Amino acid sequence: MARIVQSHVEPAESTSAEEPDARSISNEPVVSEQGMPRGADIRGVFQGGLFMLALLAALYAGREIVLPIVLAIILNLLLQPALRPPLELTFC
Amino acid sequence: MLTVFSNTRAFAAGFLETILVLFFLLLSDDTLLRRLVEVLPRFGDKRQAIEISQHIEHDISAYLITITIMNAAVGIATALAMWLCGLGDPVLWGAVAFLLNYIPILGPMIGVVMFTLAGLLTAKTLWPALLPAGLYLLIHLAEGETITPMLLARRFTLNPLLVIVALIFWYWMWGVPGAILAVPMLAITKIICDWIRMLAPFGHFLEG
Repeated sequence: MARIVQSHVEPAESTSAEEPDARSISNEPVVSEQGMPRGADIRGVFQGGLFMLALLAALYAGREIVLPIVLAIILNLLLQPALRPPLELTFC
Repeated sequence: MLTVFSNTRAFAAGFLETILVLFFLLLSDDTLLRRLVEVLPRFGDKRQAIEISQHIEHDISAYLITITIMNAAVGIATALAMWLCGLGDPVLWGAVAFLLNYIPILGPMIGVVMFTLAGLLTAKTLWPALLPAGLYLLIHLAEGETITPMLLARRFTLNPLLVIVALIFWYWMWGVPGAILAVPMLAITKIICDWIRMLAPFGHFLEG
C-alpha cells in the first residue's frame, strides 16, 4: 500500500512544479486515506477495463481463428515433454 | 442439412488449423524463447526470462499431463463399465466420459444424465437401467475426490466459484470447446501469475 501512495504522489509533485493547480495549493494527497487511487490512476483503471473489453470482443469475434490457436498451444504444452527426450537423443 | 455441412466445414477448418499450428509449435521448440532472450538487454533479464518460462512450462505440462492421464483412466474405466452393463458402443461412452471430465462439476452432471437416458433406452427394467449412471458416478467420485486431488495437491487448486464463472463465460464465448478449455486456461493463468511477481496477487486470488 505504501508503494502505491509513493508512486502516485511523485507525479503530482512534478506537475505542481510546472503548472500549479488547486491540488498543489491545498497540499491534498493524490491518494485518499483509504489508499484508493484518484485522477490519472482512475483513468488508467478505466483504460485497462476498456482494453479488457476490447480483448474479449476480439476473442468472441475471432473465435474461429483464436480457438484452434489456443487449442494448439495447450496441446503443444501437453506434447512437448513427450517429444523432448527423443529429440535430445537425436542431437546428442 | 446445409447447417450440418457448414458446421462440418467449420470443424474441419478448425481441426486443420489446430494441427498446422501445433506442428509448427512443436517444430519450433524453444525458438521463440531464444529470440526473446536475444532481444532482452541485460544478462539478469535474460536469465530471469529463461527461469520463469521453464518453471511455467514445467508446471503447466505437469498439470495438463496429470489431468489428461486421469481423464483417460476415467474414460477407459467408463468404457469397461458400459461394456459390462451391455450398453452399445462402449468406446463412444468412454470418449464422452474422457471429454466431460475436463469440465468440472457440470461435466459429470451432464454425464450422469446422459448415462441415465442411455440406460433407460437400453434396459427393460429400472435397476439395470440405472446401473450405467451409478457406475459412472462411482468412477467419477473415486477419481475426482481421491486420486486427482492427491496427485495435484493444493498447488493447483482453483477457487470453485471462479471455476464455475470461467466455465459459464467460456461456454458463452466459444461454446463446447470453450467449456472444455475453460479450466485448463484458468489453471494456466494461475500458474503464470504465480511465477510473475507483479501478477502474484491475482494468482493468489484464483487459488482455492
